[in-house]
Amino acid sequence: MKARIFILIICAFSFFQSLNLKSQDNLVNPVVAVTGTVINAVTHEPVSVFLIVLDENGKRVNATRSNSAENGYYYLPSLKPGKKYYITINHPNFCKEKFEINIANTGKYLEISRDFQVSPLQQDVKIPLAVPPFEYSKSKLRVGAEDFLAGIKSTLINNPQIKFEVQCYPDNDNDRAENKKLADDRANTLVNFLAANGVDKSRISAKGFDSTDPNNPPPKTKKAKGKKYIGTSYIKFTQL
Amino acid sequence: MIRIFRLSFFLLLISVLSLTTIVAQEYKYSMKTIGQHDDEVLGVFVNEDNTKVATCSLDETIKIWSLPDGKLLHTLTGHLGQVNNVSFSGNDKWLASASSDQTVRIWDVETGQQLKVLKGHTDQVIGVYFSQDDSTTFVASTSFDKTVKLWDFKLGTEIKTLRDHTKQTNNVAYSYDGKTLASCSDDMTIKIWSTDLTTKEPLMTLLGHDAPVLTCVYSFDSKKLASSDEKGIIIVWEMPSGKQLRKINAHKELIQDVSFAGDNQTMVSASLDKTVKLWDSETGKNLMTFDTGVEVWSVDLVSDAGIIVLGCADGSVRFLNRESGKKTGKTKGGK
Repeated sequence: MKARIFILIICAFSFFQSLNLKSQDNLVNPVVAVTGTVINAVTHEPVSVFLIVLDENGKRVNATRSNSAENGYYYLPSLKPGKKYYITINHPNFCKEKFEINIANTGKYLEISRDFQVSPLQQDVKIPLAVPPFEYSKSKLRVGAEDFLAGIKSTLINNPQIKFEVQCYPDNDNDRAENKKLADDRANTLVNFLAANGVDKSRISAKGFDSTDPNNPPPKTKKAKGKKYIGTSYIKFTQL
Repeated sequence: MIRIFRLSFFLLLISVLSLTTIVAQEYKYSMKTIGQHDDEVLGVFVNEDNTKVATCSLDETIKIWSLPDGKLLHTLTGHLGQVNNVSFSGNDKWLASASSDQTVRIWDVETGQQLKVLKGHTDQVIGVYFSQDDSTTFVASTSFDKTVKLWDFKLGTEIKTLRDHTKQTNNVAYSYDGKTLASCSDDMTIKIWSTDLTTKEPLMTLLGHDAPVLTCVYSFDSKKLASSDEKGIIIVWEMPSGKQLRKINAHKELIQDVSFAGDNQTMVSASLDKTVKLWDSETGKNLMTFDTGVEVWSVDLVSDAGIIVLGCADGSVRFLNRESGKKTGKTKGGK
């Protein structure tokens, strides 16, 4: 009998001890804050928007506002290391956006950084593709272009009401007929890519130009590095 | 009397000229092309122990060459845009690269394997610099998105974003004592930042250039910073005070790259005016001018300045080998 009581006491002690350890673990389990800025993808101006954080199951876990008066700065505390979250942005003047964010599995940092760009929801606005998805004089998507196009693809999928035109420019001003063909082919390549990746083809039109982009012309003199010229491509919103 | 005076003046002039020639001949180099990229070579970086040099190019590759023989060891592929700059880690195990594909990538120097892709910049990444402190795994980068970012490359995490430049940032340098970063920009300023994780405002802004500042680099003792601009001017700053020590009208065209030798005094610059020049950073004296006959984007040198490595606009990687002249000495290499 004594032995049974002794065993029971030991079991109870172990149980409470484990509960205590768990709660201690919860107390010391580190959390991370994510900070950064939200800027307009076209003007690069800071914007004020509401950011909602969802966990992997779509449950809302946090929210905050970015502040255009403070460079578009936002601060999102209490995120757990090793977890994946989604940050959604929903504002009447901007496209709905959903960004994935993975928090590194470490307690080493109290804060990590991440910037976001949002596309303005305006008739005739032209969203530039920041990294050209084509190589010089080519109309086939370059290897890895899917990475560069992931952002705009997501924007277009999250905003199914928008109709838009894919616009492409050539790399030089040599032969107009050749340039037109290259730019048309590029625009069609992008249309096909988007259609194959979940964007309804009936929303998309394509346009190629026979001369270089007047808003982003090729440099006339040799500039500092980082300025290799490839014709620009845009997504122009034609119907909101 | 006048004749004697004229004769003495003439003799004095001859002696001064001969002395100048001797000084100019103190550094005599010969040029050798050791290899070729398929397009312009934009960045060059010599590792800590002077055994390897990495080059990067518009052809979207990075090449690692042996020193002093210039044998090609690895060609690293993976970037999806031109590679604008490279930097070895302080322990020479890793290489960081910055590209127009908006990423920073980390490579294993021995195997040539890509270890990490760091995504977070929202425009082309132009500058990259590894912390030279072996105990940290930090990498700094600059981009046309106007920011300077600090990464923990092992975790693949962006740990700090620094904002204060008003135009695109062109290059970044990590001080060798690990305490500060310097970034330069088209806004004609250089900003000095703390590497601690909490401070996000610049410690100081250096004003003195009147053109976009294209590069900045610390000396190995972290007591000097050199910067160069689009008008061919180099400024040497005393650190950490930020006092301007010397302004040198160095080249006729833009200077994309400068670097210190191991003595923390000798400095090399390369320009699109096709010349490479050695300088005494304290006096501003030009120690050597070498006409390469080709536009030079990037330059670095081994610690005693025995080899100067050039990245050229025709895709060639060239060595300037010293044939005569005093050694600039000391132990540290790299940029």
